[in-house]
Amino acid sequence: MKLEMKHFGELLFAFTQKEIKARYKNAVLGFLWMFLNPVIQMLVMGFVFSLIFRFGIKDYYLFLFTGLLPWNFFALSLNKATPSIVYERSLIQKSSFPREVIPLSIVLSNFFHLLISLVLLLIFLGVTGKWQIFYPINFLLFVISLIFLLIFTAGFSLITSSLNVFWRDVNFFTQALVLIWFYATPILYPILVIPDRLRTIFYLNPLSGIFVSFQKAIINHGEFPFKILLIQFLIIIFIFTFGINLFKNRAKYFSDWL
Amino acid sequence: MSNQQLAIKIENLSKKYILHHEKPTLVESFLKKKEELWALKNINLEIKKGEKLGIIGPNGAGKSTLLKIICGITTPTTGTVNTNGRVASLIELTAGFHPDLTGEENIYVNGLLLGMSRKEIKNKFKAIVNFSELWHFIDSPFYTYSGGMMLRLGFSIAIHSDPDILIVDEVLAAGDQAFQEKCQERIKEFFKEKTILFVSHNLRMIKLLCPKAIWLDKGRIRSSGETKKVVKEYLAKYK
Repeated sequence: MKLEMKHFGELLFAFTQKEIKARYKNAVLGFLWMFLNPVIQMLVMGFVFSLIFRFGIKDYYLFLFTGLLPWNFFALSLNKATPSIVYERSLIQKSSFPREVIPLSIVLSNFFHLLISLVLLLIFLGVTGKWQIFYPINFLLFVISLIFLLIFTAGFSLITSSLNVFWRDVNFFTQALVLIWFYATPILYPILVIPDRLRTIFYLNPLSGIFVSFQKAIINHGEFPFKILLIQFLIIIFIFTFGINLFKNRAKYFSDWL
Repeated sequence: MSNQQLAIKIENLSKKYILHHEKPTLVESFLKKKEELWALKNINLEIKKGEKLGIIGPNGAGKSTLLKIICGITTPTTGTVNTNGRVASLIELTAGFHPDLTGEENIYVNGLLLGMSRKEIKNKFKAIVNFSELWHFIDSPFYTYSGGMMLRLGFSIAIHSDPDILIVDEVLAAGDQAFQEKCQERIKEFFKEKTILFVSHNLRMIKLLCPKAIWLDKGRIRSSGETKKVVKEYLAKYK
């Protein structure tokens, strides 16, 4: 059992490394793209969106980055992980390794990229004197939200990637879902613009709690509904355990459908 | 016989497939009635450690399904399979290689996939490269490799994963004449002590290599026992 866990860890690590390495192979700037990409993205988005919306937020571009960076992680991971089992069918037919490593390595490699962008953001915050995030309590909230974002993304990807083997529609459905989900999550707008009565509905979305926490921790904007967050985090843990179990259960039959 | 001496024990194994005619979609799965296909039906088989078993049968007899189940790639619908030790197959040798990674990086990923640990691969790395004779290319990206080179590396990794049970497909054409001889040499070595499942349409080879054989037909074991006897019955049916 212990040996199995170790092998699983090694396999997951090797697959994640493969995902990251393969992305930058044959690029002249190589790993520099890991830093260049988020910087360019933030500059463009900050410029464009600052002209359109503002919602009366002072540092709107900062508000935007706090939401868009984690969102990109979520959307990219989900869109790439969902069809991943079907794409890697030759691997599935080759040997009996734990299939979880395929979607999980995609999520982890994207998480690695998110961490890099966030480090850049933190450096920027430090240099420009916006030290809100560096208070221990805020930093703790930031780290906890990050962990729950990872858990939610992993759990949800396990569900969609395993179901997509049996119903290929799931991939199209997730793509559409991600588009709608973006607007249903307080990323472009602060949660406070939503009227009180409707806000509960917004909190049915497990991601909204995570994003509200990010905004609170990094730029001290918006509200901090502790009870709602607690419930959401419990839901996220439930979705993750459900995802793992569903995947394990379905994985036995993957090879028959590929 | 005690279970300790068995390499593989299969009891009442059946495997049902759902016949697909199109890409499975949500709407269809509700509308269409499912067609079933029993690829294997009531298979009972005991393979001793060190035994060499030939598997013969026409296309669609269930040979591949049986091997997939033994490898743990797919799950039986009913019945049980117990394997004792690490299983490696020499089928799909080049699957799991990433074209953008180097030969070295691919050895690690592929070795882990076959169940080796990182440390084990590290220790065997030199031997793997030496056997494949790809010293010069091991730090080149995999897309620069020729088909033969990929097969050589795939074979070398599989054989160094030190399997207790080896599954050999009839197509063992890895690389050129010299390399093929080397592979066959290595397989012969394996033939001495390891458990081997040998699937082939080459009846002469089967008779040469395996003392025992089974004949699969439409998912059932039609005949089993001494290879000479099984092959004779098999030939009688198809002549």
